[in-house]
Amino acid sequence: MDFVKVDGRWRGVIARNLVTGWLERVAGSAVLLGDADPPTLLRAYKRGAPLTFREGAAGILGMGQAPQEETAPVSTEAVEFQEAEQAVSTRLRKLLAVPGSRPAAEFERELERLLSEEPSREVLAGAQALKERFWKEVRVPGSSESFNQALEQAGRVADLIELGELKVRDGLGSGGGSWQYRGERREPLEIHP
Amino acid sequence: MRFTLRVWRQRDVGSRGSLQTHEIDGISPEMSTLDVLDRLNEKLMREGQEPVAFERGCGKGSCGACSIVVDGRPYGAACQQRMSGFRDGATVVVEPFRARAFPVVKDLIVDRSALDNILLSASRVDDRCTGCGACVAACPNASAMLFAAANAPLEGEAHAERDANLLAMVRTHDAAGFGSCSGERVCQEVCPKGIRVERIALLNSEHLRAGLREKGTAPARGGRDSD
Repeated sequence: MDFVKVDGRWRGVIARNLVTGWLERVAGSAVLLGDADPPTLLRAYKRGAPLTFREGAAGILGMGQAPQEETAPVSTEAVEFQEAEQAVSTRLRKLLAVPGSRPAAEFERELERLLSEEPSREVLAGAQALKERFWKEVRVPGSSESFNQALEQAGRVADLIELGELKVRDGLGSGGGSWQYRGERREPLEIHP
Repeated sequence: MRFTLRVWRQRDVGSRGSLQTHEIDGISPEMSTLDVLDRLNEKLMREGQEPVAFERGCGKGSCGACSIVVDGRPYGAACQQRMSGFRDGATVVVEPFRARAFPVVKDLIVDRSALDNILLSASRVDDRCTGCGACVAACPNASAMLFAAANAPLEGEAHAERDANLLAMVRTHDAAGFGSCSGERVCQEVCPKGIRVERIALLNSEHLRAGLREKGTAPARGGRDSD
């Protein structure tokens, strides 16, 4: 889990399954967000690691000490590991195989334009159409066999489009100062080395 | 402004790299070299080619992640360098930091974890620099002694823990494949934090004393300090 700090204020929480890389939960309470607009949290997420602090945030958020216990090393032979690896490589292959022609950055800019508007049915339809077009029209050069920043970026933009859609959906539903998304509940991962 | 960019392309550490030439137009003087690389990458992506791999960090010149060599000079904060320093139409050569201890990950990105290992070998360091590695890239011997000296705990009284830290840091420095300092002094010219070579002299003298104390051939407080 990452805590997001923007301009010296804690603005949100992002939970990501460290094994599969999927976003599990994104939340920003009215208190945490302060006067920030929801895209702030998205921007913070995009900036990534330099804005995240774990232990410090745990205290501020009243969650006590961040867990420190050592976990046993996970065997790469474990079924869960194999499944996770399979899921990641499937996703990477899917991104690389899209027969499109547009760089991921163009979709990101389109998403930003879309999210700068007040949430409405039209914006939601726009976000959904964007997601569909992304998976048809993006072009990711290179391969997944070596270091590939274009592939990294495409994965991030795919996440952002997903988050953007959720944000618009939430804006339509509550109109309040807090928003939250909870991914499908999964049983905690049990790993038997 | 328009430029001819000659950019180092290298697939990975095991491959041979070469300079690739690109023409780039529509650059404004306040753009940084990194912005120009962004522009180039958009063009490459539209043409279906792989973009040039390079790193961006804080954008404020305080993290050292974006360090690259521009026209032969290492920049530890390339985000702070503006194109206004070049004349319109110039050829600009962009390369990764070159040192045996910095293997190329891809194109302009090098693995600088050898610097981290110097810090990790000590139980306490004085964190004075961004760890960009410009000192290493500028040095004809690819020495990281300015880095080691900048971060070594040199202030205050000598004690066993400090001695152990100094000895461990220099040992890790040498083992990583960094060269020795031979007094070229170019490191201080490129250091974005303005760290001076006098700090290396201080590390050398303290390191010598620590080594003597370790062998038991010097008093706990050595040299003129004990007069």
